[in-house]
Amino acid sequence: MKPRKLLSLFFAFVLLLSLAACQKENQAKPNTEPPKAQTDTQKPAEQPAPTPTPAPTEVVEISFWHSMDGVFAEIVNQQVTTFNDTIGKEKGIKVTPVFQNWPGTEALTAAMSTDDVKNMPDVIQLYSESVNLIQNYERTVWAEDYLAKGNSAFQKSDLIPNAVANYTINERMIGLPYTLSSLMLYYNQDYFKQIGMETAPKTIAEMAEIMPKLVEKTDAEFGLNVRVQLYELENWIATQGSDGSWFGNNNSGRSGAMTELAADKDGSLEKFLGEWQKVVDSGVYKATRDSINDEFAAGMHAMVIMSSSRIPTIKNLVGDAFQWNIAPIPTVSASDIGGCTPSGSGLFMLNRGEEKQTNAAWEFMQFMVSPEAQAMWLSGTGYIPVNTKTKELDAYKAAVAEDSRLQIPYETSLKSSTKMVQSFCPNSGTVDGVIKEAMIAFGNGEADKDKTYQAIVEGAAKAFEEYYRANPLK
Amino acid sequence: MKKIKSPVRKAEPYLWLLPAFVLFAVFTFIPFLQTLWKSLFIVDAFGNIRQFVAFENYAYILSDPRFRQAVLNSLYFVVLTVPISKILGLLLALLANNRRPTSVFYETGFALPMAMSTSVVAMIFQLLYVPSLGFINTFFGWKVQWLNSPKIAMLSLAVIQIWLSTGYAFVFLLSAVRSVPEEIIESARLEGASPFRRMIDIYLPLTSPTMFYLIITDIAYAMMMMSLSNILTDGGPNGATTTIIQYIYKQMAATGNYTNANPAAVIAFIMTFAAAMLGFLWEKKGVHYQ
Amino acid sequence: MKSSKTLELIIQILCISLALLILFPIFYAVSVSFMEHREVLSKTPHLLPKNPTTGNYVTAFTRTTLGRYMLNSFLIAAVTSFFRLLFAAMAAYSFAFFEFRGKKILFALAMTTLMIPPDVLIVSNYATISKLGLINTYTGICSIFLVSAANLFLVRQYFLSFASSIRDAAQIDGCGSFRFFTEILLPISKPILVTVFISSFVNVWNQYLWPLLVTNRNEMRTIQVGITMLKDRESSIFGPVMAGVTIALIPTVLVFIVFQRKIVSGMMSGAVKE
Repeated sequence: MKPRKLLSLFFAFVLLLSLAACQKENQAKPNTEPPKAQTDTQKPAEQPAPTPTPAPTEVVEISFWHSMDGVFAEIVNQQVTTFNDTIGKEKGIKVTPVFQNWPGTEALTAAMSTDDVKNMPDVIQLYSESVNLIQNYERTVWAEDYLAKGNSAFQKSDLIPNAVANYTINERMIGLPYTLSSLMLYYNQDYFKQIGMETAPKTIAEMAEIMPKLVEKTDAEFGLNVRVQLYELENWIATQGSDGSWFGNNNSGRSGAMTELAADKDGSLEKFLGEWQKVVDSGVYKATRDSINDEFAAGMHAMVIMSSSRIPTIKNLVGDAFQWNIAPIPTVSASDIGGCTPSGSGLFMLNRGEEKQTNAAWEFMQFMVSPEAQAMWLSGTGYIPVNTKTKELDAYKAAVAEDSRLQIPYETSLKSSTKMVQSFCPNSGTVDGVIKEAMIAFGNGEADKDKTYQAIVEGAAKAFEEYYRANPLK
Repeated sequence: MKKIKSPVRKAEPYLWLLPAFVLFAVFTFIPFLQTLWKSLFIVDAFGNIRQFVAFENYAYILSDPRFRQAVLNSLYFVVLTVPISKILGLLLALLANNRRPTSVFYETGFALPMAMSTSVVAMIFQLLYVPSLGFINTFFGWKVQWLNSPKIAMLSLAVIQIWLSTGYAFVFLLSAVRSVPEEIIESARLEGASPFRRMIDIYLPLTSPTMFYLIITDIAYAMMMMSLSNILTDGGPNGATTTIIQYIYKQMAATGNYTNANPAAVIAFIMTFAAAMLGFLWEKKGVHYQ
Repeated sequence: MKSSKTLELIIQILCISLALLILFPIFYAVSVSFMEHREVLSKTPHLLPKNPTTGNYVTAFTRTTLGRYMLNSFLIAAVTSFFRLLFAAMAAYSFAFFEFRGKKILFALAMTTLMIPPDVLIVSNYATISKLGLINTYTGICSIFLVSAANLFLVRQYFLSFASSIRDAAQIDGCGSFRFFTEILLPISKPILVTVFISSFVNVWNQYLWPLLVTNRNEMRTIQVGITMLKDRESSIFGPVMAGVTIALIPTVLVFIVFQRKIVSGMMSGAVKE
């Protein structure tokens, strides 16, 4: 008898839960949604939601997909709420943020392959490597089409130049830069003082030279920790020469499909590996990446190279344990222009069939790159505001006054050449893996320079071939 | 009393199967047949069929050393994890066989890993495995490169999988062990059989239906392993932990390359099927239903 | 007599220490959830938080609507498991108690579903669910989990172990097939059905990718998606995510402990005792 009782109790509980859930769902559902979706599961809830505030005019609902987690998601929500409470209220637009699995493409490709317009976002945050996915997609709405109308709240020239270039294909912007960070050299100033250094090394050779000293004379276990992958390598390719270099052909995919590397042809890859040899030869370089933040904070490494978005994390971890600072990454040659490629993500619009939706989406896009919205990144993330007018805001001044290091990635990005963009590398996941494995083997002394060069060039060629076999160019 | 079977009586067994098979058909058979069909074509990132190439896609991925390595890794992983977790599960079950005052505590303890999701467990072990500052190495003063060394990485993942599936095996084997009739054990004891002999001669055969179930499902499960290497190693170092399903997942999710993913999925199916077949052969000989 | 008592004591001590060892990763996760970020990874190992903080839990709850996610997951896991149980028992009944044409083939076909990588089917299944208009519904999330060949297999194994004897007895009593199923077979199979329910509950509770794919409204998301939101991929801060993990564990552990006695009461003993 007992189990039956337990079972009935259990089902009563489930029923109760489902009623409660159903009710909540009704509250949250927008009125535009066809009612079919929810009646399939549950019996209709017994009463309507208590307070459906009638909007003054018709409200356009737009859906915004992002893949930001942790504290970053908190700021995204803050940005969206601010929009909804200000411009949104004024113009009758309501944005709903939706979290998607990083890198944000899974649900998108599922909806794309079934042309499921109902379950597509109006605005989506994607990383540069995913631009390949949408650049030939018929529903993509190019930002340039709206910018060309000339009545936007901002000018292209308000934004950081190479961040604009990053999302520009054949002179037209496909989307807007949204989150921006750059590769930075983090260094332990206490250790540097102990060897009599004041500033960060300017070139890879200089860096390699001080590494053994740092380990010898300080508590550091390693002179440098960085795992060189596609992103890191691209940075060292792009920053070479007097005006930067291309990683891939067709201007790294900006003037046509990228079908092969360019870095092997202009010698920039060879040159980088030649300099990197010095780092490897120092014997105190850690090529793998484990818990780089915590290891740097524990004083294990004198220098680490990683994204500027880690600044607040490092600050929190290090506390008062030692002094540290950041600097632009060391260049391959002393004559190189230096700087950084823009890392991060952009916002892109999709046409779901109604123009008023797309118009509303553009309003939202404009807000997200506004100085106000971009300034929000400064509290708790190391993201660089993409809008240069952010600098005039008190929020920016206050944040920089509190931690002057936040200014360094901003200045570095601002000065970087528009040639310094992340390549639209096809099959980038595989290429990334190829470079990672090759550079770790090089760093651990298991492969020499020539073998590493060969592994990268051949591995990338194979990955490209695989990509274009499945996605033949028209 | 024998009567001629009416059509309804004849149809009865099929009616009992109906709900399960409708669902299988809609969500597994039909999509998989589509995959099978599409594996003969070039399929682009939007899932559009571009060109018929017959078995060229199969030849293409089989000639890729990365794919072949993934196939071997998956088999290695099955061999590493399936037997050990079953043996450990059985040993724990035998140890816990008698009910004791503290049974509830340790039974729950043994079984609890099965309640954990693989991705969560992966995150926990990620912390424990950090070579420089992680708990295991700092506590024991070791310098083991748990996930960075090509030789050790797969073993490190196998430990997690064994941890997960031993709990599962324990739960099922405990009930199987406890249902072995008291009389049989008693008579064996009177005949002076050692505990080891008792395990081999009594417990193994009498728990074989459960063991059979566990082995078949765990082979399939281990063959499908992906999230551990996705989260912990990204298939590295040097592809040492890339499994066949991870290869497929990466092809699909990262690059939308269904041209490679579809035939790889078919090969994964065939491999798992073959492995499971070995298990079913054993059912004929070694599995004792009372 | 005395020696066997000491033996029992030793076994209990051994078992409890083994259990603690096995549970270590879980304890560690709980401990980390109470740690400050800088304590988690440091040169000196920290097993327990020096200054326990509940900050991670506050973060977990303010950053996400964790309560709502748990409710969704609970509902989905409970309803799905009920159907899994029902469909598995029905199919297993057919496979264990009837002789019919194509039985072996059909059973083999059912088993093949275990061997087909589910991740490959996910886009096709998305298309199906989307055509049915079930995106963002509980039905949509549950749909692909409603039947599990592993459950079917397990119940069949159980039924087979006493198939003929019981069936013959029932037939002599003039018991109809449906009545036999509902009034005799299911009640005596309680232990196995409870086991299936638990393992299926845990399995569905832990699903991630599919529930994420077929929902794009926050209020329809599940607990595992919530955990990912806490993950902080960029800075790898572990506190909040471990807090999320700990919270997500509570229902499964409770379900586990509540049904514990039922699970281990033995597959066969059910048949013998009732």
